[in-house]
Amino acid sequence: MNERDLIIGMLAQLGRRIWTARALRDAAFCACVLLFCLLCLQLVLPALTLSMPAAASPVRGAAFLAMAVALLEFARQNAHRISAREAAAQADGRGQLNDELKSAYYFLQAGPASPVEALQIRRAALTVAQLDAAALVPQTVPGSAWAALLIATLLAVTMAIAPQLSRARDPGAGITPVAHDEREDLRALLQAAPKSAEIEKLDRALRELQKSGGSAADKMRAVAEARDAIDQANMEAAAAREGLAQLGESLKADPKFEAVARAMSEGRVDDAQALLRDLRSGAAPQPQVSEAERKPGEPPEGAAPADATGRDLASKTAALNQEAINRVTQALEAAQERIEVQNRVNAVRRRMDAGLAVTSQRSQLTASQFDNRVTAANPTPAPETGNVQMRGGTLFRQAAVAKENNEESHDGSQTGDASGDSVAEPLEGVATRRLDAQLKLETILQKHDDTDEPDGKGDAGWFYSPSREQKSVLQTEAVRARGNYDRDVAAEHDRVPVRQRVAVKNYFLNLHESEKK
Amino acid sequence: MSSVAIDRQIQDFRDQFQRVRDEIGRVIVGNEDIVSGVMTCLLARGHVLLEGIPGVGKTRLVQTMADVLHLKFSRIQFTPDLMPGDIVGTNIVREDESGRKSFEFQRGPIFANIVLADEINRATPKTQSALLEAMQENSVSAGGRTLALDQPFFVLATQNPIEMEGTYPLPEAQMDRFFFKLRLDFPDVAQLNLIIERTTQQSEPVVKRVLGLDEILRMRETARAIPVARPVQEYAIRLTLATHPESEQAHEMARKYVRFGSSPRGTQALILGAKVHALMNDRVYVAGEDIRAVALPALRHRVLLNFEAEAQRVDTDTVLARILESVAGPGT
Repeated sequence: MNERDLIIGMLAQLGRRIWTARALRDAAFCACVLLFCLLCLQLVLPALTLSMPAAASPVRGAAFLAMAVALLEFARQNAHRISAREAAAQADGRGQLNDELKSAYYFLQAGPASPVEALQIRRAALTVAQLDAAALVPQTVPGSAWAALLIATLLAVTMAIAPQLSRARDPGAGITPVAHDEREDLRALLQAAPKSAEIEKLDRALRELQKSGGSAADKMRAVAEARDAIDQANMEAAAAREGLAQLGESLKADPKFEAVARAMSEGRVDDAQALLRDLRSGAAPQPQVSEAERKPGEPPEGAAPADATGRDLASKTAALNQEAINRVTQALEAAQERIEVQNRVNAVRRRMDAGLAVTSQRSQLTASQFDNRVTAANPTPAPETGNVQMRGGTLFRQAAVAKENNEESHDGSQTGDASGDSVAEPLEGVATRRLDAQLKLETILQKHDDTDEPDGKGDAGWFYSPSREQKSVLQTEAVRARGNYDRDVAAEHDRVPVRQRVAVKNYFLNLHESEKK
Repeated sequence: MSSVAIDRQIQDFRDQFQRVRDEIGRVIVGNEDIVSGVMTCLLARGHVLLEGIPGVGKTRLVQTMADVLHLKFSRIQFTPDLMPGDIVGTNIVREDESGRKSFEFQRGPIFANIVLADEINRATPKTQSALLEAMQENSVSAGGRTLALDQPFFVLATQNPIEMEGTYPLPEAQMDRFFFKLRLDFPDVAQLNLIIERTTQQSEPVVKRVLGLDEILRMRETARAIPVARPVQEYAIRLTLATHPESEQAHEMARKYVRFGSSPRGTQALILGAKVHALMNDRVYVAGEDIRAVALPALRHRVLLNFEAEAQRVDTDTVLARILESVAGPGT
């Protein structure tokens, strides 16, 4: 095998391996994309269907489009095979061959024109003979394949727990987390209860909740009906207890019914019934009023108003009326039924509440809606100190004006007038001269300083006055220092002499009332 | 020529190159890459511009190289009053025995194999042009005659980058005539120690001549014979184009900071320098690594930066380094 065949053969082999490795890598990446899209669909789509049903289809379409694009890109990338030139470039890069194969392949293609090129081809063939294609282009499982496997696992897990997830997301599903057999128990509780409209209503609601294919709205409606039935049963029971209490009060007038009345007022219905049975056994027997003999429009047994029964008994306290006892007994039985219904219904409610504990705590209210601070009125400052009691602390108001002594007009107040105005105390300090007078004086002094002495000597009237020479030196220094002066002293735009600025400052610092013009 | 002969020729090239480097290394401390760069210029038929602060051994390096190479050496100290005739030579009037007077051309110091143009930027542009013309044409025109310069003709010019007052900076077009621009950095502590030890003793190291004229000419031929594959050549062209701000292949840094990109001479320098570099690394072909190795000295004086680069203190080496990082290698 000559050098050319050796090099070309190796490049072809490398090209195949590079193509395979690239295809594996691209396939794994494509699988990653596809699986990720499916995972997103699995996670997002149910929630999206519930919240924005209209957006579900476009999202699904976009996801499938992305998957199709990934597949097409994969097919496009791997449609063409690796050329020998590409293989040479890859081999040079991977084997750190410093463009040896690339150059050799180019010289082979162009035909070796010089002995040096032939030498290069020979050297490249030697290098190729030592190359290990498997080591140069290893065909291992790409890292993205493991990522694809991980995403696939996640997808499988998500699909396995999808029903639970969807039920958790379903607002109607959250209100029936109780198990199926538990609902059966609830209904069994109701079956043993006395017949009443509330029990039937509650049973219907439980049956609706028990349905597996019911919609969220139906379940919400069933829960509302169940709560309505429970509330109604509680109200009926409360009315029955109140009637019993009133009956007990009415019976108190008769000493023989005193024990019964006490038992009834304390809510011991069983004791009251036992006492009444004792009383009945001691009294004359009275024929029972049958259903057929009851007048039309008369309320059924147990439905008679308890206070009317009490008044009737009180009016006949002289003789023990068997019929009245029977009516009391019936009233007690009716109340007993109401209370039994209430107990059953509340037992069901407690079981339901226990099952709903997880989801019923979820509230649509935001955190701020639990707080009533918004509605709290503004605190009123204390009249004496002005301090304000605020939530979380006290705002201590510092008096803006010093306390005025011997001022009767502000007695009782340390904070000045209600409008906030307050008469200022007289300022302390030295008396100042008028500002305009000071400024004029400064101007005169400055003019005096600027006058030149004609004889070259200083002013004799002064203890010290610079001569002309000295003044010229001083003026030169002043001009030289003007830059510094401008920068340091009169850097502002006004360029006001320092002495005048000092005078103005002192004037306003020592401003006196009497200086006002 | 048989492959064995070529192999031997290449081996000789490497050995001779290494001998020169070792011999110069006896005097010059450090700066191995500078020595290699100077040798590359010599073997690629180019001229070199050495830049460095005073005292880092520019002139010493050139003198040592002249000692190592068995070549005719001359030194021209460039000053503002130096005239072109002081370099190329001048016609003088000569009277023979019969009393007849005639002009005779007196050859200047440029008629040597190795010419050290010390502080080239101190001479006037007129004088600089005389030297640079000779560098480009390998010939001198004087007195109506054109005189060819001896081969190898190798100019090593030095300039000081910090003293710019009273100098005449080389115009860009004339800078382009130099094959490489090499920068000598300040030596580190270890190198300084070695320099002090070598130069403050009673006797300083003496080099011997290890390379003659014929060997140098043969090495030049060997370097020229190294082939360059088209992908590598295209890589050098892409690098050059990346320095041109108006080019489509211009690098982002070049668009921002470069006023003028490298000339075609830059690409030639890249390829020729890479050939010598490949031989030094026992390769008979030019690789992308060889192009990258010579890119900075070959292009740094051919890329002109704009005002924005000066304002932001971006130098040519930074721009070229970024270009080298971003331009894809050959055949990719």
